[in-house]
Amino acid sequence: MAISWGGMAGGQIRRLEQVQQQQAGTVQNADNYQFTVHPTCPPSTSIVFRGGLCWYPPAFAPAHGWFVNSYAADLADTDIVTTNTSFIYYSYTFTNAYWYAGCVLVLTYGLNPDTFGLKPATLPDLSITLAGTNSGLADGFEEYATAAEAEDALAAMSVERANSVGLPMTALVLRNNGNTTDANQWMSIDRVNRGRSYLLWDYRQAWEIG
Amino acid sequence: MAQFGQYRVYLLDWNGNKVAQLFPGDDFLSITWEHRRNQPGAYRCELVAETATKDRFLKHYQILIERNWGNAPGDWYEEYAGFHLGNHEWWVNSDELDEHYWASIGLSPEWLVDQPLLQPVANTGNANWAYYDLWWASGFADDVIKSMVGESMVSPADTARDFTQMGLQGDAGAGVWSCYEGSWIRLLDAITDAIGETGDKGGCDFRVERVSGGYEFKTYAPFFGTDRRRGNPDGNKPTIFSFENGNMRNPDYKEIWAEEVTAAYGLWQGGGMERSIYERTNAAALAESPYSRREGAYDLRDISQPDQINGILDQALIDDGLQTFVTAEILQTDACLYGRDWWFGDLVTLDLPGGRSFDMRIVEVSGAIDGENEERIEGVIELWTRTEAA
Repeated sequence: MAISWGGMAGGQIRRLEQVQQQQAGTVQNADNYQFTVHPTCPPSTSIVFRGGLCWYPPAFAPAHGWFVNSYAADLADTDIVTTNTSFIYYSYTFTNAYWYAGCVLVLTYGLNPDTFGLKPATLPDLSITLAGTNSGLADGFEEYATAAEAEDALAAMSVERANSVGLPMTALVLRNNGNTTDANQWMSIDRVNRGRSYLLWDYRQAWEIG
Repeated sequence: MAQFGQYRVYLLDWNGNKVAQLFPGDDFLSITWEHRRNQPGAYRCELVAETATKDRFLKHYQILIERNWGNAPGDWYEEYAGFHLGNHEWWVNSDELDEHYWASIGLSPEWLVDQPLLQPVANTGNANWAYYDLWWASGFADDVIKSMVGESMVSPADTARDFTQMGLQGDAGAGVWSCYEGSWIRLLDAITDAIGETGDKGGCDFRVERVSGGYEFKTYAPFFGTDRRRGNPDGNKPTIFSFENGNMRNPDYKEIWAEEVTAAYGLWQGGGMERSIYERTNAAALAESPYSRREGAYDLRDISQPDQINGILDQALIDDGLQTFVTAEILQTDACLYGRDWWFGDLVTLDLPGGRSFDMRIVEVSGAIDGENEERIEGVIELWTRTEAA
């Protein structure tokens, strides 16, 4: 019995897709894609800032649009991140293994009038402040056993504390990775709550929730 | 003409119980079916319409084809199952004829994962809001697509979405590690996005297989099938199609690089001059000739995490890269039987005249039998290029 074998089907659909891809070479609606925050794939604990025009300067910065480069920053890196809205070089060590803490990620780089407009290739040290939910605590962080409690605390938080130090980019729920000895020990950051750290309310910027 | 396989065809109810034997049977005319890689394969079963057999077909009952490649009782295996998804009834009238036929048409169980949508992740146990704005997960590809199926139809947060006859194989931690996402698209499309049509992107394949009482979603890494290549590491008896073995004729080999993309640009988010552009190139292809550079643009604005982009572009360089087509007519011989020496998904060796040899994969198979138990088997083979390290 003869058995005929055919080759791979032609690329008609692929060619149509290619045409669509070429036609989509420009994106018209720019603002929706400007200056947004994106987690990276676990086990990374890094965040990517997609560069672009920012039209939301804090009160003490010049009131015009400014351009920000794209950056990646490891939120576990104590050189990049401080966890205190009043002091630099602060870090946070969880007391309870695998508990949650809510915070607002604030970009402080570029807001000093002396450095405004400079666009270094990599994010300078201490460019990020993680503003915790409790202004009464020295380091601002407050731990909760569940993600829902941490989210509730974020919803009740005054975003003015975050606004006062820079540009709030997103809300975060950080979950400890089991290490309660060392600083900034949180799980990798997901797009949604998958039992690790995650961006709260997707990556909508904090002024939308504030 | 030699006849190789023996067949039995049954009608199954919703629980997978045999309710009627269609073949051998007086009102059976023919059945055709196909296996497709990571996609549902169609069948069509034609019967004489005057009998009551057709009335036993209810919506979503199933066809089961059992095949025996030899004569021993132990050589029977389940060749194909398919869901009854439509009827076709027709009449043939002339001066000499007054005939009435009926056909069941449907798809293999992979059709099941085309039923649900991949909905945003439920914010379970959290009263703040019900759902996130997308489905998202990270991990090994085979585990992630199982999560998609699990959360969409096997154990969904909304129990109304539960397919009670559907099961899920346990995680294996294989395939490519990455992040995968989607929202409000068909589950089958989301799985295809995650692992690629060929399975190469995720480094695994999936199937929906018949089990006791229903069906189970299973994954296979690095591929579904048996390695029957010459010198295969599993020690399987090799299946080699060649002139010398008398099981191949009219081979055809084509290579086309007219539209071979060697530099892929990923257009991520941002408008105008702020749009982020990623680039990946096929260095080996670029080095082959001073005229090799062909550029391709890929709109990736919907990707939420930029660290996925390089992997997507690497896959684009394969999909839109050098196109190699190898075809041949294969003769099923006593020494090279379908169902024993090769089956859907298997890796085999193709030897062409002149000493060239190729690793091939059987990516599609279609079969047909008629009321006389005459069978016809056709297959589609492709060059096998997937990285096999799980």
